[in-house]
Amino acid sequence: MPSTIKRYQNQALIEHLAQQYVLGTQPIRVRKRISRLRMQYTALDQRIDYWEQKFAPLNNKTPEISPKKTTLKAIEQQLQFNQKTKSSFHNWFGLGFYQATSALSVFFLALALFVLQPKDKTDPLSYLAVMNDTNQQPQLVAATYGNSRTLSIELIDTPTVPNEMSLELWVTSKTDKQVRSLGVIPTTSNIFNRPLSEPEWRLIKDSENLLLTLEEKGGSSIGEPMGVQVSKGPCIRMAGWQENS
Amino acid sequence: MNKENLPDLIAKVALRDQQAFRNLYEQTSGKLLSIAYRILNNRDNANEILQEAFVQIWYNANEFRAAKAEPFTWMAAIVRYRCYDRIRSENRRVESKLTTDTNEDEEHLTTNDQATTLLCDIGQQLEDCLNQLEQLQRDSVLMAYYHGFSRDEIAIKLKKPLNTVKSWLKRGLTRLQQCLAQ
Repeated sequence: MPSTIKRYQNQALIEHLAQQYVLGTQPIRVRKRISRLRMQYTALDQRIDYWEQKFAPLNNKTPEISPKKTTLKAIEQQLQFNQKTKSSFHNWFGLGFYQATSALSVFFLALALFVLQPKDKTDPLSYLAVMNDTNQQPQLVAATYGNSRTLSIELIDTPTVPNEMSLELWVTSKTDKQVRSLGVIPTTSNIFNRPLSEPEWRLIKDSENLLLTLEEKGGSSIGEPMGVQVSKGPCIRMAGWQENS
Repeated sequence: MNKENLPDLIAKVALRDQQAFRNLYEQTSGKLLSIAYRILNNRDNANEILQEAFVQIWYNANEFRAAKAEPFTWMAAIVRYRCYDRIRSENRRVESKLTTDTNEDEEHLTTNDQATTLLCDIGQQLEDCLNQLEQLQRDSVLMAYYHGFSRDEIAIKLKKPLNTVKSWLKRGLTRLQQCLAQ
């Protein structure tokens, strides 16, 4: 729109937006808009870079704090640097099973897993969710194992994910109904395992259902779902949960 | 942190070099976590932001342009913006931290005659220009940038009307810009 173009050629406005953006004082929606606009308007992008650079000394002299030892491991797991295939879902169930039994998938899967037990009997299945897409077809199975506190994901029907986006998994709390992130789910493989941190484990313990959404690359920056819902499913607590919680 | 090899590491990360990514993490995560912590005042949340930021760095490394920004400035911006979004969306802070640690930090930020002040370490030009601002302008700018305070939070903390804080920020940054351009 011509008026819009003219608006963002106003030097004073550009300067104001760039300053407030770098200072971090804008509301989230404005920040999101500026993030998009800076890709369209070079002058705005340049002024943001200018202010970033000018304030950089404040960051450069910040004293270091050692990250948790688990943080790098969690990042590597999330990015699938060292992929391990602990899950045995894939061997137990074929794709057709889910597609043919969408309505009863939760029940059958839970029952089957309960009876069959995982490979490692010292690491019992503690929690299970089968998530259905908008057509109520099973799309993803999420499970946690009590002893190792591992989150195991199997994508049954991998949704189309644009290059600039990521799939993010969320937990809805039973207690406060708030939705909180369990991180981005890689789509390079249909099976994905990663350890859960203590806060994540507490989220699982209090979970009502799981939610999968399409978010910006790397996950929603505001800590809550912003994108399209891909699939959703209730959580089932399995035997062995309480003795391991 | 060896800043000289950061452009090379980011370039390798853009090519999906996992070892380069680990080296980049080893070199920068301590400072990036500190930046997140000073804004969020919560170590668990700061570690979560650090994790999210490095995932974003992995995916977006090919967007880094050395001609536009210093590598660490680019990475720090990713962390800071995620922190700002997190606290704005959660709209909450650890109040005890807000009223204790922050006060101590602000003393460091705004007291000019202490040998150990932060301003003495942040680079001569920025230090000189910040010192030329009126104290409340300087405090407002630093509370926003350094601690991630919203304008509302600054107004509450300094017990001033919101519009006054907005005015301080606007005038402070304008004066800062004029000074930095000299």
